[in-house]
Amino acid sequence: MDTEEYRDHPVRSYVLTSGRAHPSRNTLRPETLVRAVESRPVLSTASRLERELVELCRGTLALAEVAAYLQLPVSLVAVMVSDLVDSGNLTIRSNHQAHVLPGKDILEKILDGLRKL
Amino acid sequence: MSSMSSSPPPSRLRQVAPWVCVAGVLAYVLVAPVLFTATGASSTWPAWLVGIAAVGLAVAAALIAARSSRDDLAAHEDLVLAYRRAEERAGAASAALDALAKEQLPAFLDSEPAPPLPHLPGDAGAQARLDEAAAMLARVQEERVARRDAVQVAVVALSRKVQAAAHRIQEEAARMVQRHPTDPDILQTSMRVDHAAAQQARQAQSLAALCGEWPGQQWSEPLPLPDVVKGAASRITAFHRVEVSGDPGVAVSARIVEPLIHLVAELLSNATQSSPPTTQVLVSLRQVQRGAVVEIDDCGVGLDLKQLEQARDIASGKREISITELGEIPQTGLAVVGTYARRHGFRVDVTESVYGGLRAIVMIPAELTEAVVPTGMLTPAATLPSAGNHTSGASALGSRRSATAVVEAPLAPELPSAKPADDDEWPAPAAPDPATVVPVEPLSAPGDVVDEEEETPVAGAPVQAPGELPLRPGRARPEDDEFPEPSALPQRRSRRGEADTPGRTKATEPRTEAPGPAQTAEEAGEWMGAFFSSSEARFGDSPDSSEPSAGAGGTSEDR
Repeated sequence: MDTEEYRDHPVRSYVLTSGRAHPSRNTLRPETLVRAVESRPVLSTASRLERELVELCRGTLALAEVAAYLQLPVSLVAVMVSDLVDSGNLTIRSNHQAHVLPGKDILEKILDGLRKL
Repeated sequence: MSSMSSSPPPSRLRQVAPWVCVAGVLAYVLVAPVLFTATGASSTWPAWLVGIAAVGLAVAAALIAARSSRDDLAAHEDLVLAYRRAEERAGAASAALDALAKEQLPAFLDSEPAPPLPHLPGDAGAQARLDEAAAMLARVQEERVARRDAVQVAVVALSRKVQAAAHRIQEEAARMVQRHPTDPDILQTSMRVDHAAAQQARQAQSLAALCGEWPGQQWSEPLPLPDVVKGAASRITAFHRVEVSGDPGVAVSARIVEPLIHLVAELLSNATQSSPPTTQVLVSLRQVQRGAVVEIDDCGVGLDLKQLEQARDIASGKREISITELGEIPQTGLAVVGTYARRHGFRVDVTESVYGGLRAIVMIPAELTEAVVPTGMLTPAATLPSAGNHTSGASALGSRRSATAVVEAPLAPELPSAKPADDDEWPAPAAPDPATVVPVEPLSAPGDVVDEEEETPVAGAPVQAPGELPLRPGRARPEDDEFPEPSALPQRRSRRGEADTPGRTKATEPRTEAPGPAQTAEEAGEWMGAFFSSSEARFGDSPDSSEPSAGAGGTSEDR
């Protein structure tokens, strides 16, 4: 069923996030664009992986892309990105879709319609 | 033997002769008066005759006695000689028995070579029996070695199987995350499974290592030293207590990555087990002229001098401990360490730590290390890689945590109730989450809350104390300590959806339950959720405003 190759690594995911699987912020989605804050130096406490992540985001990348580059699950990268946003090393770019968002009432109508299906 | 056969006749003669002599004299005394009175004084010849006969009898008896006593003396000398010889043989036999019992058997029990048994030159029969015993001993020894080898082979084969099974579990857990790449709950479950399986794999690998086998796992690339320690921490129960400091820009060669990870894991395991669960295990990494050094300090009570000496002998590999002499389980760790130290040339020492517990020092020889290109602005002296970041209050990561504590201030009293879950390392997974998070997430709040935690990090820091302190009492049990985060951290996204917008819950639920076929529906649901939540976040404060183009609010939130 899985076509993706399984890649083992000595450092397991729970050590990367101290056992947390839930990101500290709820706004992160696979398509969320993240970008490094150039002016803010990476903390000396950051691990190699965190540095690599910030390096990657020198150009704006979607969360899913970051995950693909790092070969880590999106949900795991979300936790790490979330931490780095909290520490000010990464910033979340607002979605372009935000500008063409339909109104809340329209969405609710759609939802109602979907429920009736 | 020959002298004994000739002794009975003389001795009987010797006993009889005096009696014959006495009987002769007595016969003369009795017979003489009768003869004198019967014959009268006229003829004395019969008296003379009897007297001569009696004297002759006595002389003969005396002669016989003298001769027989001479024979007896010779027999006595023979006897003494025989006795001495017998004594010598008995002495030699007893010495041989001693050697058998006091040297051969203990050596045999310890499976060590024994000194050869002494020879018994004068006693062919005993010598033959002794040789037989020695041969038997050697045969039993061979059989025992063969049996031990067979047991070791079986143990290695079984431990390999267990280890392979554990790695399969890890792989399945990883695949589960791949199938649900965006679901944090799946990730959480996967982490738990992975963690349990990693420990299982380590134990199995310990068995194989003690049987003198190579680790079942191998890595193809060099690994930076901090990652080695993190990889080692991955395999112990209390991985969150490991705090790594220093990144000397050194990697270890691929060949010894696994042995070193396993070695450090055993030392970390010992350190976490022998120190209070609320303390950290400090690992510092540094480069030295002759290689790289890993120092592991625990804050336990240490060992007394004798135990320390023993531990040092075992860990350094000086004293070899095979799987047959392991004894208690806690001794496996150091025995494994010693095995790897001997095989790969790591230098391991155990001393008293300045923190009061033990300090284990591992020196990796320079020929087993490689330089790595430091990533980013790596300042080796000041680096503090983040394995233990969540508890180091001084670090920025700590203050990040404190920012969430602002959000969760109302939850703090509930945390202890989540702690004593009987599940060992991990907190009760989903149960506390809805209860704790939902009240904090009013529909109108998120935008404000997020802004607050981002833009007032300084204000957040002081709040860390109230936010963190209630956690401490909950750490009485080591197991509780491990995954405190998930329950402590907000899971705003999904919970808010459940609590506030039932419509969205319906959209997100299929994602977890029917992932495969409903792929497109799931994505659609996610997009829908994204739109919805962003509009929520933006306009939560003023629900009436449905103006979609107010992008400024989004930027400030997404900072």
